[in-house]
Amino acid sequence: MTGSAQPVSASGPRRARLEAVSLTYRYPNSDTDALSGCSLAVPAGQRVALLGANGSGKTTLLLLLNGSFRPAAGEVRLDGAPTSYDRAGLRRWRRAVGLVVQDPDDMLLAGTVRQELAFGVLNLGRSEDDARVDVDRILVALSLDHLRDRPTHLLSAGERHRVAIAAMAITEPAVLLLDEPTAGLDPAGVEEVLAVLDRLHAAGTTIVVSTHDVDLAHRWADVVAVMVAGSVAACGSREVLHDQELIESARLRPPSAFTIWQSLPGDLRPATCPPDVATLAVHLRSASPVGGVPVGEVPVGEVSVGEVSR
Amino acid sequence: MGAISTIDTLAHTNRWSHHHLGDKVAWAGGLVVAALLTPVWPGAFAVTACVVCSCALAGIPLRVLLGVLRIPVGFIVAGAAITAISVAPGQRPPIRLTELGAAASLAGRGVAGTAAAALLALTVPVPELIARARRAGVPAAACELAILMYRMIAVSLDRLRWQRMAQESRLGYDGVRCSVRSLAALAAAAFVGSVTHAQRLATGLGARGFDGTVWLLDDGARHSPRFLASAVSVLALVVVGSFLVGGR
Amino acid sequence: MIFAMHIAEGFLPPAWSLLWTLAAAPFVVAGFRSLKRRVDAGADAKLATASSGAFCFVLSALKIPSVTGSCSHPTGVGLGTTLIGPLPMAALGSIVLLFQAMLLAHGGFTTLGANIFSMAVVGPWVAWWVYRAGTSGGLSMSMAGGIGAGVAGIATYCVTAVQLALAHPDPVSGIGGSLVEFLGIFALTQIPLSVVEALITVLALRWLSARSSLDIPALTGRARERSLSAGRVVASLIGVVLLMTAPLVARSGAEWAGADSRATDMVTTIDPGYTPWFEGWWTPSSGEVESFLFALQAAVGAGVVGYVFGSRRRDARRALTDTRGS
Repeated sequence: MTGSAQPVSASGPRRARLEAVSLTYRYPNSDTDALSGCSLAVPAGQRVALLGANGSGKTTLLLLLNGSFRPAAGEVRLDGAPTSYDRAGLRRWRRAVGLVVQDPDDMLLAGTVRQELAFGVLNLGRSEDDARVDVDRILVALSLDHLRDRPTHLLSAGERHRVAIAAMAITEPAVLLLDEPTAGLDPAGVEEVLAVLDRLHAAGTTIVVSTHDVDLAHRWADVVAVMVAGSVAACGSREVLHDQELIESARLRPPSAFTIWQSLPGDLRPATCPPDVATLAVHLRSASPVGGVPVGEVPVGEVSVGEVSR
Repeated sequence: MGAISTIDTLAHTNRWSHHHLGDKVAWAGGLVVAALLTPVWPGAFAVTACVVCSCALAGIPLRVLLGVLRIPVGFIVAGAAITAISVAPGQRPPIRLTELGAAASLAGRGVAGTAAAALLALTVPVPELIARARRAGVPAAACELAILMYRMIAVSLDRLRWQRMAQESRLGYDGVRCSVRSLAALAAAAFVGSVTHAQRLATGLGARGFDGTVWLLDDGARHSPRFLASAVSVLALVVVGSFLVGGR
Repeated sequence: MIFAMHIAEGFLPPAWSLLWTLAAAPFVVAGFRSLKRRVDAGADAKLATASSGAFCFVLSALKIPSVTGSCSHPTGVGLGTTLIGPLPMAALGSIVLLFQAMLLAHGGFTTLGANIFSMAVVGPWVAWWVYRAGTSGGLSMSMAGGIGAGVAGIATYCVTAVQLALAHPDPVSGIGGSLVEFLGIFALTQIPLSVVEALITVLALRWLSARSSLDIPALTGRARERSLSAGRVVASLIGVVLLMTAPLVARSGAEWAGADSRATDMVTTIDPGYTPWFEGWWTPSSGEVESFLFALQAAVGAGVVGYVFGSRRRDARRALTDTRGS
């Protein structure tokens, strides 16, 4: 998917710091806490991956971070100040922090894609002409222009995810939270969604993505937070995922690139673990072209593990 | 998967989708009125011919039109047949065929009218209709409910189709008793599904700052003088011609 | 292939289309008014209301087995009314019927008014009245709702038959004969369909009431149980239809000359040489135009009467909620 040269936003979202401080939450009719003492500082302008198994509390944390739920204990802070749950407070909060839920059908309500995107702009109180301009701009910027008058129920799963993201992004939130935006998508669909998120990130939005795809977090995120049983067990750069014990306690598996990197002999192993297998393969080919395969003739991504370890 | 109906999909993707709603309604609506008011011969035939040509121009396959007309035509034929029969205990014989001409006339008008109505349905997408209706002054409450219903129907129908296929795979429709039980479960699931969908939408839309207002932007389509002029002149031709040829 | 009885486009003469549209209009307006209060309460209520309407459409899209072996579709009116209430059903039902015309080509646009009257006005009120009578008579909610659905289906098909008979009377036996014919032919499919729909409704309501976590009135925003004034509305509806059709049926074949033409006949009998001293400034060009004008007059009157009833009822209900101090 080629992006276009159009800027995503006219002025760019403002920077904002979002923090969860010691949040505790229990669902009604449940006998265990979904979150207990969960704290997370979301650094501004970064790509954050929230990793955890099903039931670890990722979705709950996101819903607390955007004000959909109120915590039993703890608070959410925006730019250092606690958020308020009254109408005006929630409106300010949600202008700064957007949430894209897991199932696009749970947040799309209009008849066509264009109407859906305009909805967000018109909600801000802007005029219809402004809405048309903004909608056109974001459709082109996120390569959705060919879908402009299509009703949402005739879109494919990947297209629906991208429209849902565009629908949130059009209002230029400072922080965009996404609940498993790549779940159920084919590899090409995953790349399309990540490309959209990268464009938004380049425009200045802080992106927080919840997922249980360890490889995705390892290769894409600037900051990784691992959730175990209702709280954040570790938060940092992708090296966090190299901790075997943490990975096991979180019911995850180590990143593929790390597993391979670890098992390489010392002379072949690059100094730091690369983000993904493809980069590792490129490094290995350039470091020792054993087997007579010249650099550049094997398409990246089609190298098998057997070839690499020869 | 995910389509509401063939008609809905075609309404969004046919060759006339860039035309202004008013143009399309003037043409197809005018044909409906013509079917009702002109003499059946040759008015109904002219209207039906116009519908067939419009479908060809708009890129709507003829077999779709025929499929759409299948059920209403059944109703029309049955209804017209009833008017052809006269039941009166006092007369001999008590049941006899009368007014075949009138019945055929009714059937012809019904078919022409239904075809014109089908053309309207096939060329006008529902979201566009609702947005323009809002602009024309239909109360906001009705329009907002309508567009929300449209979106929710798409989601619910899709979910229901999957649930029905799952039931069929478990032999849920093997016989009338089974079917009634499965259908009841399906109906109950449809209700629960619609309620939970509304609740999830409330969360998802709350995240977008939804306060209840559903905005309806118009699509900026322009009237096409050429289209309108052709429509009006053909309609005039059909109406005047029918009255001239068919008498009053 | 049998469906609930939507009258197809082109099957009703324009005068009758207009008449039924005007007859249905006050109920639809009253229905939207009752919804407006609910949806103004908040975004969640608006979504819940729309989801109820979507549910009604989806119900009518279910394929159910029919006697002939081909597939049929229920009206969905019975189950919908038990869950939502009859007044909102008039409003949501009209949107459903519009969508059926636009998305499925069931029913026409000029016949929309007639179809709304039979399926979104009479059907729901009958279903509601039977449901209320049943529950106050000791039946369970599911049983009462199911019987209500069946009776509503039959009522709907009867009203449609009346609409058709009025528009296309039998040349010999008049409207009465025509009514018998339409009722008879469509009974073959509609009565089994109503029975099946009743069964499905009973079971579905049982399923739903077994799930104790569902507070149905809260979820659908249905008004708390009201007095049996619903019965009065239904009774008056039936009364109106009977009043309109009874004389025509009772004296079928009679010459229906109006009182004014009888008077002119009488005058001519008394004084053959009499000439009128005033001529009307305009006479209708034909009998058909004259009939159309009469029908139009009747339709406007029906609309006014219906509006008055509808708004009085609304005011009465508002007074009731005001005195309750809610």
